[in-house]
This record gives sequence, C-alpha cells and structure tokens, in this order.
Amino acid sequence: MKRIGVLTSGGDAPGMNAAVRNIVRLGFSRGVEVIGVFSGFMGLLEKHFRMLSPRDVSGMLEKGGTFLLSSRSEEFKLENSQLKALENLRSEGIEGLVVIGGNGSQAGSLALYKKGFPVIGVASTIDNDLWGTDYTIGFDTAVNTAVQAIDKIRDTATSHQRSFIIEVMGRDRGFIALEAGIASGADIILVPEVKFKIEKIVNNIRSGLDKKKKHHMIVCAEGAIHADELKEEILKYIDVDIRISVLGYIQRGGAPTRFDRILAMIFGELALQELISGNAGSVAGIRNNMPVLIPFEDAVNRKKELNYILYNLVEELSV
Amino acid sequence: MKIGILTGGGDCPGLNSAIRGIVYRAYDLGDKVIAFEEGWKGAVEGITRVLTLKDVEEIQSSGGTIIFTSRTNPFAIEKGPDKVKSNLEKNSVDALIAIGGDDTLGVALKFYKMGVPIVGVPKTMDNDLSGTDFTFGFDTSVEVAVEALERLRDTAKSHKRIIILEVMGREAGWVALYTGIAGGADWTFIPEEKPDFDKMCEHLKKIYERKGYALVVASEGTKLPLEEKGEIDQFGHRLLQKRGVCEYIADLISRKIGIPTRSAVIGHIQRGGSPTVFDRMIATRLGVKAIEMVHTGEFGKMAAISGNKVISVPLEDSAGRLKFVDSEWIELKRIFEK
Repeated sequence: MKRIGVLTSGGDAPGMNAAVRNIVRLGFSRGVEVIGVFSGFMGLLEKHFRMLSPRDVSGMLEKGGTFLLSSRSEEFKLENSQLKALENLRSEGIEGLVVIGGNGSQAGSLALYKKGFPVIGVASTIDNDLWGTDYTIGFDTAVNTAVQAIDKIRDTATSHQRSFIIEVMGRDRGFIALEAGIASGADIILVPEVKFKIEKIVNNIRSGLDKKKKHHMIVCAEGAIHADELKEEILKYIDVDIRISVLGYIQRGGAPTRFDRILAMIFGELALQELISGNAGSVAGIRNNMPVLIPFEDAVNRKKELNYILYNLVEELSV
Repeated sequence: MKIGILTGGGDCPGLNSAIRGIVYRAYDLGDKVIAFEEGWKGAVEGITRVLTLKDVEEIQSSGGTIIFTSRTNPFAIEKGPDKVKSNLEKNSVDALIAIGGDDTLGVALKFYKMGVPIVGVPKTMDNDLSGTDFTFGFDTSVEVAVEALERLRDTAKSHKRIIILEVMGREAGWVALYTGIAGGADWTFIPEEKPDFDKMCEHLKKIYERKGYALVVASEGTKLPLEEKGEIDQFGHRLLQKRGVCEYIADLISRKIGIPTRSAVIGHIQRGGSPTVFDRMIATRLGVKAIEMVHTGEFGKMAAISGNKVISVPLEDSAGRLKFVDSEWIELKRIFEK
C-alpha cells in the first residue's frame, strides 16, 4: 500500500488533529503517502483531497478541533454517493482509508468496506459511546473541561448557598455526565440509561436540607433531561434557590489532555499498521490498557454499557 | 477595635483574598474581626462568626467567599435598617467593612448617612464601578471567557460555523470588550452600543468567506429589539438569564445569511474559580487598606485602585454611578472587526 487517505467525521473532538499528525508522520517513515480528505465523507464526494507532508502537521499535537474539517453527511448514506466516493478514491490512486470518528461515522466506514475498499477506523468522539473500547479520543479532554467548569460553579453554589443543575453533553448517552459528575462530587447524576423519578430527586434535596446541607450539585446528561425542564419539575415540589448552567459547546474544544494525545498515538499507529498489513474492517481502540481492533459491525451496532458500579456509588457518596 | 465585615452581591474570585487581607492587617493592629454571614442578610438576622488567622490561612487561592453572600437589600425589608443597627450594637461592632459591588456599596452609603462608621471595598467581575480603575474578579472572569472562546474556535473552524458566546455584563460591556479583543472575536456586542444587526450580518458574511468560520461575543446586557419581560430582584435588576441574547442572535444570523450558527452561554462558570495573581493582589491590597481606613477614621469611603496606588474615595463618588465603555475603547474594538 503506497497511498492512503485520512478523514475526520462527525462532531469534532480534541485529539483528532494529533491522530492525523501521527498517521502522517508514521506513514512517511514507513513509506506510505497520506492524503488528507477534507470535510469528512463529503470530501470524498467532492474530491477535496490534499497531500499531507510531515511538515504540514507541525504544531497539530496540541490543537483542538480538526484542521481536516468535519461534517455529518446525510448524502453519504445513499448507495450512489458511496460508489462515487470509491471511484474518486481509486482515480487518485488511494488504496486505503482511515476514518477518525464515533460510531455514526464508522457506519460510513462499514458501507465502504462492504463494497470491498480497505477502511480502518480510529475511535474518536467526546461522547465515549463506541462499543468495544474503554475510551475514545476526545472524551478525557471533554470530561476534564466539564469538571473544571463544575468546580467553578461550586464556588458560587457554596457562596450563595444555592443549588445548581449543570447540563453536560453526551447526545443520547451518559458517559460524560457520569464521569464529570463523579469527578466533581455531584450529589445527583442523571443519565439517559437509568430512569429517574422527580420525587426521588426532591426527597434527596429535602433530606439534604434537613442535614443542613445548603446546596446540591446536580449533573444531568443532555439526553436524560434538559436543565431548565428539570428545574421546573423540581420547583413544582419544593421551593429552593436553584440555578442552571448548560455547558454546551465549550466542552468540545481546547487542547487535548495528555491522555487523549497518547490515545491518538496508540490508535493512529495501530490503524496505519493494520491498513498497511492488509487487515482492514475494524476500529482501533483500547481495552484494559491494550490496543484492540473492534470489527466495524460491532462498533456500529452494539451498545456500550455504562459503568453501573460507579453509577451506584453516587447516592452513597452524597451524604 | 471590633470590626464587622460582610460580602454582598454575586460572588467573584478574589473575595477570599480580600477577607484574608483584612484579617491579617487587623491582627497587626490588635483588632477583632467578626463576619456577618450571607451579606446584608446576616447583618439583618444577626448571623455572625468570629474570624481568626486560622480561618483565613490559605484562602487567598480559593474562589467564592468563605463568609457567604446574598442579594438581600436591608432597605427592602421591613425594619431592616434598624435590625442591622441593633445587631451591630449587640455585637459591639466599632466599624463595618462592606465588600461588594454597586448595590452593596449603595446600602453602605445609606448606613453611613445614618451614622454607621462604615468602609467599603469594591468588587465586581463586571469592572463597571466608578471611582476605582480596577475591581478584583474581572481579570479572572475575562480569563475564563477568553479560554471558552478559544475552545469554541476549535469547533467553529472544524464545522465551518459561526458561534456566538454570551458573556456576563448587565449594564457595561467590559467583559465582552476584553473577551472580544483578547480572544479574537470577529464581532462584539456591548450594552453601550445600539446593535446594528444588518451591518453585523454583512460583516460576518465577508469574514466567513475569508476564514471559513466566525466568532461573535455578546454581552448578556446587549439591547435586543424585544419586549423585556422577566423577574426583578430586590435591587430592581431584571434577572437576565431568561432573555437568551445569544440564541436570538444565532437565530437571526442563520435566517438572514444562511450560515450554520450555534451559541453558548458562559454563565456561572465565569463567576468562580481560583483568582488570577492580578486579582489576588488587588483584593489583598484593598483589604489591608480598608482596615487602615478604619483606624484613620475614613468612614463613608471605599478603598480604591488609582493607577498603581491604593487610595480612598468617597462612597458618594462611586455609588449609583457606573463606569461604561467609552468611545476610545469602542474605537479599539472596531480595529479588530475587519
């Protein structure tokens, strides 16, 4: 394999640039030309290609976002688009493709792979909801950003003896909420995976007040309930000073943590080497601190479990 | 002497540094310091706590206020002022130091006029108090806002979007101005200027063509052509979080020029956190000065920063008068809106 393409797809995640950089530089050393495909799968349709030299990726290790740009392409779900993409790849002499993204993006990878093109994935999404890998590139940075924000809000909560609901990202999953909540000492964590009753939350706050606990920190995943709705629900039962904060897009950007940079190195190297050796069809990830390859079918279709052992500790800790 | 202290209004980074400055300097002069907790609420209800060196050691680096705060206005409470005076007497307080923004210092001035020996220490993260060049809390909060803008830039660039960041600042646009210039925004809205949305859209279109993304910073007090509705607090301020300034602007941009636009509100994150060295130094110096002012009998005044000096100015010169962004600053802002 002499020439491969690399693209980033879906929501941007800190560490995507680091992964591209590592693939480009290792590719250079191993005699493989790396072509950057811009704007995700859309770039395959529009032939938005550019050769990347090791110098082109200087300074990319610490940059958030993705310089290759990204998109969420509906058009790419069409059979015709996929055929067009393959034609464009082949006409440029590109023999393999690395797709950096989450499970939605790997569905695009799977479609191309099924049509006989060598594709390999790199697990990267701030949501960490990709089956088969303990962590995805970008999750650690996003959780750290959320924890820092919640720590700051705690100062205000304590000073004003006021409760806060902090809404974090995660789409339809609760991985960010769970880890950010645990790490920032939240009293209540709401995730989409576990049904909750407003009455129970209210009782929790009441018993806290009885114990002279004057403020409560509630972390909710955007997929469980929105902060403003939750506030309204709680206020129906109990009159407390409660404020909301939606962390939103601030969680996405920023320089990747050391952990995400290391993942970008491990995943990038694994993806490149597998593609060179002719073993396409899976996503590079990590399990029990060992690099693993997750078959596309599993990465796309299987549902990753939340860590319920951790989740169940929250109530016990909030005394 | 026995000196009472309280912190009122929104919390901001540096309050604890100021409290530490007060307690340490009081120790030198043989004073006892007693805190009224939760701002004026504690003074009305008599919630007190003695502060010793041990209580304030190591607090200079923590955000918030260890003696709590509230937005209580004693003059809006029945017999509030009498209750405050009797609580001061009951605790044999010789002088009171009130740390707070425009509202807290306004209350302090009223008490001074009623004969209470009182000294003010200005704080506000909005930096909009007259009579002092800087207030602590501002530097930290702008630092947080600039960092947030830089994170948003990553996503805006990656997805070729426009992103609006809404920052704090009810009346004055200092936070938005500093965030916009230091963080490299393409357009900045401040409450002092009437927003020109057509001009902004035209400008953003140009920027988008050149850069492939754009960033906008908007002060929460940006004047929107909307009917204002919302709760009002005890000082008559509209509670601003319901107005959704950034959502309004984002919606307007995507409708008018059809570029995908998202928004983010920095909100309460901007209030907390460990103060920067700049804020710790200002707060500490003001706290120390306040104790010295009590001993020289400079009541009805507040400690203030003028250039690089700590001075005292009459509360009258500051209370009720905000410091707005003036044309010189607006010119500076325009240089970067290209």
